[in-house]
Amino acid sequence: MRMLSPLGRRLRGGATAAVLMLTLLGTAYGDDDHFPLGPFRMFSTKTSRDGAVKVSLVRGVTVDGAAVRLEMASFGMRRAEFEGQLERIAANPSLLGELVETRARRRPNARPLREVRLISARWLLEDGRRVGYVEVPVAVWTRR
Amino acid sequence: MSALSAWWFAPVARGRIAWLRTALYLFIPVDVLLTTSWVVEHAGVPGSLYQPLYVGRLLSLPVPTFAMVHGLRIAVVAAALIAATGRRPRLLGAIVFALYFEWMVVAMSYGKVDHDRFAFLVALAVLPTVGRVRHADRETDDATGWAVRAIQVAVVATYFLAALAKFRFGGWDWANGATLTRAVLRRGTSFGTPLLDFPWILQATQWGIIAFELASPLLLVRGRVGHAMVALCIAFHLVTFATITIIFLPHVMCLLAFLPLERLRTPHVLRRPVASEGYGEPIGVT
Repeated sequence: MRMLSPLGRRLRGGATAAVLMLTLLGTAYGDDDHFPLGPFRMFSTKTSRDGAVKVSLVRGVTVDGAAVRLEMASFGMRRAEFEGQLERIAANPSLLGELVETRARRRPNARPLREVRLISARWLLEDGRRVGYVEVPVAVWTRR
Repeated sequence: MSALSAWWFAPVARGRIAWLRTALYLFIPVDVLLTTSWVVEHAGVPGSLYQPLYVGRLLSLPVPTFAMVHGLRIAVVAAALIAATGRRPRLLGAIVFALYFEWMVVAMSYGKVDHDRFAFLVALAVLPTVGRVRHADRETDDATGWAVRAIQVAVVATYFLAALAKFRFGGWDWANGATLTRAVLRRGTSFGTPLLDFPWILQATQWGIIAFELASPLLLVRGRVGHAMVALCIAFHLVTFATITIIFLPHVMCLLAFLPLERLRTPHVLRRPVASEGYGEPIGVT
């Protein structure tokens, strides 16, 4: 059996200890920003059984006046990415305008849009069951 | 030698590294081009929506552009395919790790971070620490043992620390909430959606998830217990996929590190001689 030298072992031991320590620190004090050493927080927040489940979506109006629901992936971002930047987009709806331009480049044959609304939809829960649904606009972009 | 050191460096047959290299490096094109093909879509997203991770700011990594993202995609796939041949494992392995890491920064810097990559990144980091190896090599060494152990511990940490994250962010009574109701409402499939009418099943499942995650160190137990736990993990990921279309594929690939891959019969295509200069020595061999 080939054996590592004492130095080889020390280097590996040190790297192991460092990564373990950083990962534990990330779990205790870090956040997603510290990827890949942040906390593994998939579905870690608790949704109240009498609370609301939020789901964002995008609706739009084409230049010929048709109301359409727009696929979020058509903007190049995943739904969860929109949700991660919801407050930024709400504070600065021109970001939505930039995404509309991205969409137009990606889908040159799609009908042009004159209005796009980023919406936070909420399923209302009572004792863990759905009892209602509302849509709350987060940001609106209108073609000038 | 302390018991801890003996555990971390417990010798493993070198063939397991060869198999892991083949499997994980070949998985990269699947991941990049198919199963997480959304990453390349960031190429067209305006830089104003790039929200760099801490590591991106620390290393002053550039704001992704169209050319950069597409170039990176080609580079990471090409490097992984070459690395999968087993040639120059240290150099190519290091290149694959660096490129894939940057690919992950591009993936996770737009407002959402996924947590299925930790073990895979650890695997890419440790695979180059072992020299050239053949698939059929049953000889054991401690360099292989450490690399395999590191991947195994990273897999366990992903589950175990996820339970701790639930306690931290969701509270000790996380399992009494309606988090799975949220998951199914947001991503439910035709298998998952009917469960919305049975909140108690979802709540019981939440307790099951916490128990499963806290029991994950059993993966490290040798023999039947460990293998049963691997099977349970795979079942967990399959059910999760069937109900809410989430599957931690890169992480699932790393479960291979728990299996005695070195016992597999080597297919003919992998049986060619590795190199005329021999199999190279692991770093630090005396």
